[in-house]
Amino acid sequence: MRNRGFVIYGLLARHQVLSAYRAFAERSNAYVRVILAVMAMYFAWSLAVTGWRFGQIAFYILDIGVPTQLVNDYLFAAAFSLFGLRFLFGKSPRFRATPYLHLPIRRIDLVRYFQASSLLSLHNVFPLLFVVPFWINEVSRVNPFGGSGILWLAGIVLVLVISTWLNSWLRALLSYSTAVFAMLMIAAWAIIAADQILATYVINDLSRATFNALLAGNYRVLIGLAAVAVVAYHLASNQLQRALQNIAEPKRTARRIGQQITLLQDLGPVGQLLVVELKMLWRNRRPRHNLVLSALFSTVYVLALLITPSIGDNAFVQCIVGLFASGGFALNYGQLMFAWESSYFDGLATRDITTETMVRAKYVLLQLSCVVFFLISLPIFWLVRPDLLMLHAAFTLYNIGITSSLVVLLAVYNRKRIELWRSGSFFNYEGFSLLHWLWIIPIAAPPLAIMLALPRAQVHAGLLVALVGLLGLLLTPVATSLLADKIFKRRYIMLSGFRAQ
Amino acid sequence: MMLHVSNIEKSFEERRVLSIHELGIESADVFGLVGGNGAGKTTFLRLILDLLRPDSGSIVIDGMNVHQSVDWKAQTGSFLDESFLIDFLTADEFFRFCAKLYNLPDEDYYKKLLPFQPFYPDELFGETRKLIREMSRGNAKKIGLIAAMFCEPRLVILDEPFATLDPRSQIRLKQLIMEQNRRLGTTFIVSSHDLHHVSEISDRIAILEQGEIVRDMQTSDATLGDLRAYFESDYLSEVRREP
Repeated sequence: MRNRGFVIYGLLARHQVLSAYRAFAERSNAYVRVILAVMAMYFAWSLAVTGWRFGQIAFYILDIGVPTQLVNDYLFAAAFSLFGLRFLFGKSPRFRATPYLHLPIRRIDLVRYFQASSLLSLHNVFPLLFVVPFWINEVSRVNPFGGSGILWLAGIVLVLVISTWLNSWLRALLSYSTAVFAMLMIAAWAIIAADQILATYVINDLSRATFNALLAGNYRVLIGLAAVAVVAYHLASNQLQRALQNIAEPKRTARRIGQQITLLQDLGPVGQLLVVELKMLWRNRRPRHNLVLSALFSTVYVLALLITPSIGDNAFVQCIVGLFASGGFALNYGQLMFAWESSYFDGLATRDITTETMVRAKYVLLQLSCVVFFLISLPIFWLVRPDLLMLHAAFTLYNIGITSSLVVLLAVYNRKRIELWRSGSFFNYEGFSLLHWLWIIPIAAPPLAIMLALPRAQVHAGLLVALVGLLGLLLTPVATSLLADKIFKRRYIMLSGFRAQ
Repeated sequence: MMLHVSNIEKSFEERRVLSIHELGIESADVFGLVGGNGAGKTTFLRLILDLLRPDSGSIVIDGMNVHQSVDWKAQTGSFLDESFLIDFLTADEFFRFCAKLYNLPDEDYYKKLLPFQPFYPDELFGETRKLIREMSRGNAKKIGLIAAMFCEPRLVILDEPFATLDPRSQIRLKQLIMEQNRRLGTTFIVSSHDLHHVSEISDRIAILEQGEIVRDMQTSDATLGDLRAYFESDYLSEVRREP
């Protein structure tokens, strides 16, 4: 029986390696493959060198003589940040397990395998690329290699393990209970913010105490971390098992809010498409998460940037704040316009809807979203930085007139299918390509150029940004017609791309 | 003529999957399309609906080239697969959406929809609560078939409409197709693996093999037997060809 378990784990591992290899090899664009490989190597090399040379970096740049103490102070803070990144970009093992559910493999074996294999994530590999060279060059030089030195490293590995499994648990929790998830998130944010605002720095103290104790050879701290890892494993395993049992159940958690949007329904075909899109947004997990993420961008992210002391002089940060405060939704959601409809795009294409009507509906949604998010983020500007209110209004016009057009243009070139309900990670980047990350450059370039050209005339710069936006708004009918024409020409490419599972 | 196909060719990665030299379907005909898996039936239907770009040739619906115009869509209803459904809507919401796009007056909406109620008896039209994605595959398919037909377009294109339906629903669907064809003169193009059903509803049946129409026949009492004989002989010849 034990041998059979290993055979099964071996088969599953082989499938995972094949799947990862083929996903990489099947990327249509060889340039993208090369860029991704170069970027991965660059980050790996940078981390390894930084880890190896951190002693000198701490001494010459930060003027700190004991680098291990500095690292110990911030290890928990780094773990929290990585936890956030992992939550946004990491993927749940649930969907990888689905094809094996009907086979004679015990569910518990599947759970064990996928829990264990989730530890091999890049989110764990990259931190170790810094930690291991640092440990070799700094920690193990002054601490006994086989004693307290190894305890310190084991402590960090356990923190990564805890982070991996708590993440799986949290993602599963989100799919069952958004309210509990939201409460936990608010509590965590409140604790971290209070720690910083009140300057208590409890997280840093805790981090220092934990890792200093490990360096002092305190085994009990390691046992404590291992106990937390065991609890995290059980929490994550129970949720995964529960998820695998429910995977074939009909999705009955769908929201029915918005059943009656009669006002829009009277607006003809544009109104019909808007109603369908609003229902799609609300009733499907992935676009709904995208909406939540956009709201976070327009509020929490903007607030974080606004309380940064240097923002007053920094044109780049001001530009980012301006773009995301009112255009967060347009930038996040808008880039995948049409792809959101990929599961029923065939059906839409055969209905009596012109491409111009389609584009007009997209414009109405994106431009209205800019107004809504302008109003949502308005109190933040008013309370924190009233002097930037004009900039906020100017960028809202820019987002309405220019950003909306540019994201729809990018969306026309998107041909990757999106599964609306399936959401492996909270910030599921399925459907995104390198182009989507780079698209911010042409969007941000005009207002940034204006602001850099007029560094001492903020009012004039704001007026100019607003003017560009207004011009874009007035030219919306022309842009609609051009984009509709583009879609009509690219319709077969979009249709075949969206059809591909 | 409702549909005219001339010199249509389609290849995927240099493998020719469809090649139809000439095909015409008269108005008010029920045209059946049969053939093995991978014969090119769905590709052909997708080409008719302008969901694929043909390598060459043209398809004309009621005088309009489908690849150059979109006006034919106002008089065409279709259901090929689940990508024709908006599965996060309820049946009512989906039907309303279709009705608005086909400019169906509000006062006609229930009048046109009610004949389809026995085909989908699980929920009363006007009071549907289930989202389409919460339905069984068979029921979801019924919603797609109703959406293709209830606005009374002049041409209806259906791919495997009988598959996954229960026997009672299959019989009702046949009645609905024949009734709509008789009452309104609607042209139907129906692809199916069910030789019995397709020969019962069709005026004319074509057999598609490896992308080409190898037989095109008017249906008669002997059609079902002929089709069975064709596919049986084809199967036996394939078996004999194996080493």
